[in-house]
Amino acid sequence: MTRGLIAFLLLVLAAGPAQALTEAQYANAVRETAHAVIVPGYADLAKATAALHGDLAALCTAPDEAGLDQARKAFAVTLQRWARVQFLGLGPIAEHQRAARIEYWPDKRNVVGRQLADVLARQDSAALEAQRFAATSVGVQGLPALERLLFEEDALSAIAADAPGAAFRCALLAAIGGNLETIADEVLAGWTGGESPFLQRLDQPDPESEDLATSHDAAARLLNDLLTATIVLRDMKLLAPLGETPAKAKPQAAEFWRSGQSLAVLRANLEGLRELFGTDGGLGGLLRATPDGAPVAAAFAATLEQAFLAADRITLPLGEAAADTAQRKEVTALAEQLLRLRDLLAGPIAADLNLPIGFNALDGD
Amino acid sequence: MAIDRRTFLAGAGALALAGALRPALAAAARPRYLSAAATLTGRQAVVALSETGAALYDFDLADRGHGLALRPGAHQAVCFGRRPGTFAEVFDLATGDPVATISPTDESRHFSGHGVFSPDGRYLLLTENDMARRRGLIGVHDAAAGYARLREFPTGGIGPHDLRLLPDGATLVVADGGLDHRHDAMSAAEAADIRSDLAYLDWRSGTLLEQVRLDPALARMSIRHLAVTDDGQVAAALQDSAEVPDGEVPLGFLHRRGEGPRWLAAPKGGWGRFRGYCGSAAVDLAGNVLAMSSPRGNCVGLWSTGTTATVGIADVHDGCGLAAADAAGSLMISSGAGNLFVVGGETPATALGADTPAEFRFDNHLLRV
Repeated sequence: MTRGLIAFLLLVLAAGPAQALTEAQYANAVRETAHAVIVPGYADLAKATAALHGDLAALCTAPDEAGLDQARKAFAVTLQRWARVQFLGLGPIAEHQRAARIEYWPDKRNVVGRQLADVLARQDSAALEAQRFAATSVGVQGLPALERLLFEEDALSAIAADAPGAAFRCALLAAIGGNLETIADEVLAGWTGGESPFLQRLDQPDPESEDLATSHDAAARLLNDLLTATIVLRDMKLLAPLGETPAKAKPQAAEFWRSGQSLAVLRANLEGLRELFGTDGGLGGLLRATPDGAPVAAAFAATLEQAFLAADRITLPLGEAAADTAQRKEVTALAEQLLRLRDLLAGPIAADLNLPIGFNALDGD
Repeated sequence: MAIDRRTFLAGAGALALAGALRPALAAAARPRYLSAAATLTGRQAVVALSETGAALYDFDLADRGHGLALRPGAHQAVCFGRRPGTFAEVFDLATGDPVATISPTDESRHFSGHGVFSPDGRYLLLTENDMARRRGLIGVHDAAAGYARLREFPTGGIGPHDLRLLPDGATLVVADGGLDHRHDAMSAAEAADIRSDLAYLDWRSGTLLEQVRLDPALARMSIRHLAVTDDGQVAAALQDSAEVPDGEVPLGFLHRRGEGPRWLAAPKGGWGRFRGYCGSAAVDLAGNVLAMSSPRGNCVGLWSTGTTATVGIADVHDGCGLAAADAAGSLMISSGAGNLFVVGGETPATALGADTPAEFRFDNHLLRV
């Protein structure tokens, strides 16, 4: 991995001089993506979490297979919506630990499991009150905790009316649902409502702002988020469960393995990546408008297509595929496409768009 | 005034943390370096690193961290929230377990991201901005009283950022960043009068001992980060607040009490390579080599603290954090891509072993334990 990173650095440093794009061009690209992709994406997430909250509340009024099935479906839909915007670090999602409260992952030390066990053991109903719950341990607040409650073997029997602790468990399910809905609503409201909607900050950057003084800054943040997505997808979502050999595979390192949603989420991540980059508009459209950009944009689109095809060839759940000799090849093939996407973003795309790549480079102190 | 994500967090208070994470390796290896970091999935953390860059433990922060300080004589360290900071998190050096959280005393105050301990480890001195009265402050907290606020005194300037103790243990040197247009609304007349300065203060009495102010022609330059040699020489790393940095003005100087600043020689390729921005500064263990990083310019420059001559410049992508490495003349660099490098002399930066955790993006500063 380190060798890969060094190669990546060399590649970044080798990237050539940039074409001059105007602030107005960056502004258009960012505006398009924000209005056409980001805000609708968060609106979809808000809708999905509202439905999920409703289904979780309903499940407990009369727990049965159909209700559990309905809640699990709503959970999967929420994952889909979340995955589309999972890598955005811009704006309200970065405040109040909202991203980690929606999904605390990776969870190498079983924080979610320990905190959930703790909450279930204490049975403190007052702790489930919305405001208190939103300030409680991040591990119990979001999707990973909900996944455990909905997909563990005795998910249904544990909330049967006569089961010990059923009432508290039901209240916890509803609390997580309500919390997710609130967080998603807050993110959406942060973008579109209030005194200083984030959308407006992107539309009209404030030159006095520390981290978003120009549309160039905003475009750089977006590009870096997309680059991060390719690294997380490859290193954390694929290579971590894959391990070095089939015997060293770690199926439980796959994201959302309990619900069997790892690949579906990864696929939605790729779709989000495609939309957030943009083809006609957004950064992709901007890229195609630069003198050398068209072939690079085409390469990005083609590589993304290859990534989708590679994902199609993984027929087992990701964790199982990692431990399967034949399927490992397909996982590796997908990882290779993600590496290509990363190198395109960090290399020619960043250079053509004249956008800085980095973490410390983006906002100084 | 623009509201950024950190301003939103001010006053949020009871933020949910993931709790102490038990390290598997902590007992086996002693932390050699500490850094604030963001994970690839956006969590803010402190990471303790071994000498090969392996993560020994990490714990979550309520918001983005910045600088760190080590408490002499006790196994404790502190991570300061990034400006405008709303917390300073004290933790157990061996395990990362929380010890105390320090908050600003008032909503009009925020921490600037840096602090140091008194030589006996009793008092924590941190830089603070008083927005209401537009002045820089040093806050004094008593580690023996649960890190309670003991007293405070003005730095004599505004926008204080980094601070260090001189070898005498009594003299504090503070980088007053000066005009900070992002946080302080000021009239043109006020702004013209306020410049960045280097302030020497006796922290025991709060007395301002000496103030080095930059030439009015350099009003847009901001002194941000400091390093101090064992013989009391101060290195100051600057940032150019101009939208288009001019590329000619030096971004660093050396200074001794009672003397004038000695500006650093331009690095090979010129100051333009630094893009008007130094992220941090550090000197090697022998005190002969000063390093300053520019994550925007993707380089780290080295200078002789004796002659101000350039010693070398290394290409490091998004390299920012700096700390002394084990060998004299060598420095450790941390990068936003999650790598550690060792650099010394004219040799290029060497990446450290495969242990370096790729999931962390090292943030701004690296502290040698």
